[in-house]
Amino acid sequence: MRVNGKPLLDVCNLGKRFQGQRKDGIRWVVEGMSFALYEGEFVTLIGPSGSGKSTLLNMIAQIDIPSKGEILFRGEVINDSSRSKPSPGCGGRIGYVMQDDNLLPWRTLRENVEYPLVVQGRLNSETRTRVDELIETVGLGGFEGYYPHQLSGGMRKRASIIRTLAYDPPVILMDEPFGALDAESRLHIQSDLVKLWQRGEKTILFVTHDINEAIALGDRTITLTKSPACVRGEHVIDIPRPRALDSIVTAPQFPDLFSRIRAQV
Amino acid sequence: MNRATFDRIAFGAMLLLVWQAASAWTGPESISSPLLVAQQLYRWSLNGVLGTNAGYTLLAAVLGFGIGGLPGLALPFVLRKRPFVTAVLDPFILIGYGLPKVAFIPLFIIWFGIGIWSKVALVASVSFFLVFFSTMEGVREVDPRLLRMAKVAGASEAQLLRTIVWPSALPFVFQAVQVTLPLSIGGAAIAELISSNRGLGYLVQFSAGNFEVTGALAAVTALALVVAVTNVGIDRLHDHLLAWKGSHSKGITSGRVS
Amino acid sequence: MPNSSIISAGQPQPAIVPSPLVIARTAVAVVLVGMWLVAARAYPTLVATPQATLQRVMELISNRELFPMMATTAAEAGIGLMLGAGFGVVLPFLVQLSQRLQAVVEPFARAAVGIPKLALSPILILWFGIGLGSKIVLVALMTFFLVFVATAAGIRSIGPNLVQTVSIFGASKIEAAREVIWNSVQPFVWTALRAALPWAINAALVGEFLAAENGVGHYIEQSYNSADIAGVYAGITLIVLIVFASDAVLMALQRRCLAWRPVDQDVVLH
Repeated sequence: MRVNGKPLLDVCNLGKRFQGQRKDGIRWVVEGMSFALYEGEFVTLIGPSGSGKSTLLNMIAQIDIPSKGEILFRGEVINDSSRSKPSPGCGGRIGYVMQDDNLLPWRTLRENVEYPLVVQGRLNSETRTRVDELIETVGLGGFEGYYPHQLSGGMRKRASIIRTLAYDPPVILMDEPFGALDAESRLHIQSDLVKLWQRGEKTILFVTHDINEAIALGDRTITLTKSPACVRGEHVIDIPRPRALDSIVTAPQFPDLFSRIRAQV
Repeated sequence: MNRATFDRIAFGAMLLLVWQAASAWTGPESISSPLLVAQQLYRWSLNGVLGTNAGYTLLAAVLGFGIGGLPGLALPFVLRKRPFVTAVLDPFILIGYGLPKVAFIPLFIIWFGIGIWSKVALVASVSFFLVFFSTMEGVREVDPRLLRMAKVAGASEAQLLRTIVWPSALPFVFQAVQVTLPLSIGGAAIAELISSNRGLGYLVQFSAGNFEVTGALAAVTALALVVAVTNVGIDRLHDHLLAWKGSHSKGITSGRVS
Repeated sequence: MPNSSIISAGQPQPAIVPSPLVIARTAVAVVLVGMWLVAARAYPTLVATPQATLQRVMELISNRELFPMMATTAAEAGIGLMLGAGFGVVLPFLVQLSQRLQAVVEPFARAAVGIPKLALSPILILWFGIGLGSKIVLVALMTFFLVFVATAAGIRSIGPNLVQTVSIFGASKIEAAREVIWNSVQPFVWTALRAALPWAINAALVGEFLAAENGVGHYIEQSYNSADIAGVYAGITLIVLIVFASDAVLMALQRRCLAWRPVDQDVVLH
């Protein structure tokens, strides 16, 4: 689904270093990372653990400041090493679903999903309806008044995903969001996510360590090197949609894609 | 000395300076001053007033802690194998814990006179419940696998108690001591405020009654110092006895409330 | 107070017969009351009978003395609690704006928790008189340090995750503080309040024992001075009622405000 022309999100020569514990320990976690994200794409990002994937997402979401390089959104620089004060979420244009569900424990399910809209002053009858639909779509209907501690891990995960979807940011970053779920819940939510993505013309950058998941969900998979991480390769996933997520391994293109990606991970 | 320590010393010194300055402004009779209090303490330490009264308060505290604490310590071990008895006594002990012992001070004085025993009674009644609940928790938290292992090896109940239950519960017992002993000193002082002719609490009340703010504040300071020294002593003992547990961590309030 | 029983060993039984547990507990209660009656008979000047105690409480109700005295003591404790808690909750937010200030102030606050503040009672009476004022100040002091330390600990315990999450949605720093820090701190504050309540009542009592014009503690002290043992027992009964009732109210309030917390999760203040 590549739109001709300029990328929606452009990562240029990004680098991040951390001061280590020892005096000599300056470690580059990310170095020379460059790739582009086009509007409407679902791109999966895969790399070995500890390869700075979360750091990369943090920088795109502007929780973190790069040491080098820059990030452009619609051609405009939104984050580079000169920032002293990042503005997380880029004014609500970049959503970020982190590994922990990070629901606010003192708000009910519905209040949690509505919260970003409240903050942005966009809660009205129209957005409320949207929230209702989202809750139904992921099978959480009936649990609107429950507090997070009363919900299962899978339910909280789904809630945190629709919380970001509810306020419709054009770009959504997802950091191994399904890692803590059991296989069955994962399949359910994966198909829910693809459904919601296809409906809404969103651009998704999805980090995972699971090659099957990367192939099943993405239009394109980017592989990263070990730390200091940069782009190792890009693979177009040419399996036609709609895909059978639970039996993706039977797709004819799968074995070849798998071995190519596996070789780089 | 790192910056934090320096900052703290500076902060403390600043507080004392503000106090000293304020006393110059309002006159020393109403709020006294650090210098006057220090002088009073010094005089008292020389003429034995400090020693006698601090000793009296400490004696009441220790006696009360022992008389109340020892049964509080022993009971959980006795109750360990008697869950029914424990369940029966449970509500009564909870009520006893919830009763405001301070309200009983006049009653204790009626029963035991204005001598040391009414103070001991107050401290004992408070200590019993605190020590009981902490020890109870410690006894309950004993790893059942360790117990099973020892029983399989043929240990008797007495041996189990001595070699497994007691060392297991010891950290909880110690935490009880950490909380209860300072509380006992404070409790003895409070009982002395109300009716006594000796002790640091008596000293506060007596001074205040004679409008001697300096004396009253000096006595309170002495009390705070005694509690502080006791805390340090307990911490040292803890690190020594429970070295196998790793150095104790001061929790949020470090449990000492008075 | 501990939140749960030591061991709850209720045995399921057929409906008609009361369980052995209930029978045994009733037996213990009967024995205790029996001991009370025997002691009252043997030492009438030291122990008032249950009947005499109850009778005295009734008298206090009928001659309209009960309510004012309970109201006085409750007001001393209640107003002091609110004052102390009010400052104790707000100040840590101001202090935590500066890392340096925070490092300095907290150890002092923690140390102040350990000082026996009830011993200040005579001095406070000297300064603020024998009315409610001196008792309120003492209660406020006690509560302030407890709540301050707990709130500071609560603020420190908050990880960056929720604040970051909320910022990504577009919340400003102030909104983030209001939403995340304020709510995260609540469990700590409530725990401190529950712990402060008995101390608040104790402080009011001690003040009233020393010098007061009214209040249940004052009544107990008066009865003590006139060797009126029934009065002492009646007063103690009233205090016990205040303690249990106020803790029940506080616990109910806590449950409502913290409905979002899992029930078995307690904030432990060591």
